[in-house]
Amino acid sequence: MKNSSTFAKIAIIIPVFLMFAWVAQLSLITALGTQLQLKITGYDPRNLLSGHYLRYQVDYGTPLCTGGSAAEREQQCVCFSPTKTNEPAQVTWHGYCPNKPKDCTVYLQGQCDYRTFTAGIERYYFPEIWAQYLNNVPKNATILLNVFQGRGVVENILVGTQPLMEYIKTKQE
Amino acid sequence: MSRLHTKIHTWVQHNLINAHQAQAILDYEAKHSTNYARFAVAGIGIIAILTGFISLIAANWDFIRPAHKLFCYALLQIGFGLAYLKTPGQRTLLKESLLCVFTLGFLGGMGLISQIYHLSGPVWRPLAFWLVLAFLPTLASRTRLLAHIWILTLFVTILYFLSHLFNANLLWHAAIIACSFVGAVFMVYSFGVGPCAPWLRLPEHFVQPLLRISCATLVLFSSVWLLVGPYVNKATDTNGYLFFFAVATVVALLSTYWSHRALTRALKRALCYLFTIVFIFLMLPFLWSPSIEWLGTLVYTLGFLSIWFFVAKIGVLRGSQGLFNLATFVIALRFIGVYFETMGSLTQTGLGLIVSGVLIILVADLWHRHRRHLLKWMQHSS
Repeated sequence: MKNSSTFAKIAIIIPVFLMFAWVAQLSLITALGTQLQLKITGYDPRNLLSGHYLRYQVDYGTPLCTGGSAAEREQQCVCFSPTKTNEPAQVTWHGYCPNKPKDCTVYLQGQCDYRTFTAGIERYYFPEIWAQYLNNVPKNATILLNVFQGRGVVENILVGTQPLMEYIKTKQE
Repeated sequence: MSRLHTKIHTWVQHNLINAHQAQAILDYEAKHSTNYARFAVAGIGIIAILTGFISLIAANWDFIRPAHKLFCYALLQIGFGLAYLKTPGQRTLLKESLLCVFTLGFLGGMGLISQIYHLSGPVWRPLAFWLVLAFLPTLASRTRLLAHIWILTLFVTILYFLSHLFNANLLWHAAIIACSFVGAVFMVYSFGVGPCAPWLRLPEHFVQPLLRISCATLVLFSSVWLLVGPYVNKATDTNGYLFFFAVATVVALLSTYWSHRALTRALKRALCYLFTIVFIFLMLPFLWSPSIEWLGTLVYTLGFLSIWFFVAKIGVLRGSQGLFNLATFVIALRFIGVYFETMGSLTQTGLGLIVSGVLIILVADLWHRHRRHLLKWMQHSS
């Protein structure tokens, strides 16, 4: 009886700990990560809005995947050199992660899905009630991204210098 | 009436026990028996309540700050865990329901965190993470509901992972059907005779291969229905429907093959049970009435209830407890169906879902408490 009670406590504590460790990791990326700005374009003109989130493609300024090599489906890294405020970050190197240059400290890990590089940053959630005011990714849209040890967390979408929600509210008026 | 009643009656006839002992055994079993259907239905209610809470939060997304959302989620998640630990008893419906909500709540939490941090990625990753989180609570559970959910999620995760690995978008439906086949057959093997049997051991009466086969068929049927439903849910798609029926029958026969060691003279009986279960499952889509005017709906509902009342009566006359339980269970589900038909799209709101969940749990409990009274009345009037 005592063993089953102890096991029940462990069965409750460990998953809760793992869950909050995950949240802590994401918070760490947001707090300690280097902030980058990257240009985005529409993902699919026919279905840009799905449910409560906006899907888009990040425009890295250079093709990162050729779509021909099986090795590209492995971990791919993209190195950035931060630029001035309100300017998109520049890609300085891209390729297989173990071959990453030593001076590349700001980088994003991802994977090539044929010709598309994905790094888990291609989605932005916002309330569906605003969907009617946003039927396309605006032309000068960028994402504000926090990058830490290859992991990226999207903080906001900017349209010019305006955060997305303010842009939508402006459109509503 | 039930298998136990038959056995007890046989023992009394052979003077192995006397009538007083027989009655004492029956009273004890009646008091301590576990009704797994009640747990399963309670599980549906729990999911509805959870979904309702999440929906309420999502509807007011703009007004709640991320830190507050995370804090509320943490309170709920830890709260359900503590409630499970503090609830007395070993295997009560309340205790197991709390553990179920706690475990399934991680899925809601992952969805919430993904929205706050705008995460994206292949579907198999959050499912795999949930499998890790849910593993220990599933082992701690005293019922099999979580184990079945965990195993099913494992197969779905493998399916999505393989699809992602091989980029098999074009082969999507063939892969789904193939994995459903393999999954259902493997489940039967694991549950009954395979290496996972000690861990995934079924309750005693489920050791019977007949019920094992029926469960495998139902699981397969449900999985194929859910995954290919949009393609067969057309009034004119008779070929699709027949294919769907054939798939379920073929896999059920495969399941029978895996259990052949346990089957002796009961093969014909097993096939009868199999086709009964498949037939009843095919009847279940009629649980909800078609979109017709109120008088037509009333006639439809009364007709549906009459048919299932008749099935319950057949169960009593044939001495089949399972058939009686199933028929009364379907009748209970119909009342829940009336709620959904009346409320319409309001059931998709947060509050509607929470009310639905509470209603489902209440109906499940009422069904469990009062079906014996109905059984006694039917036996008396037979």
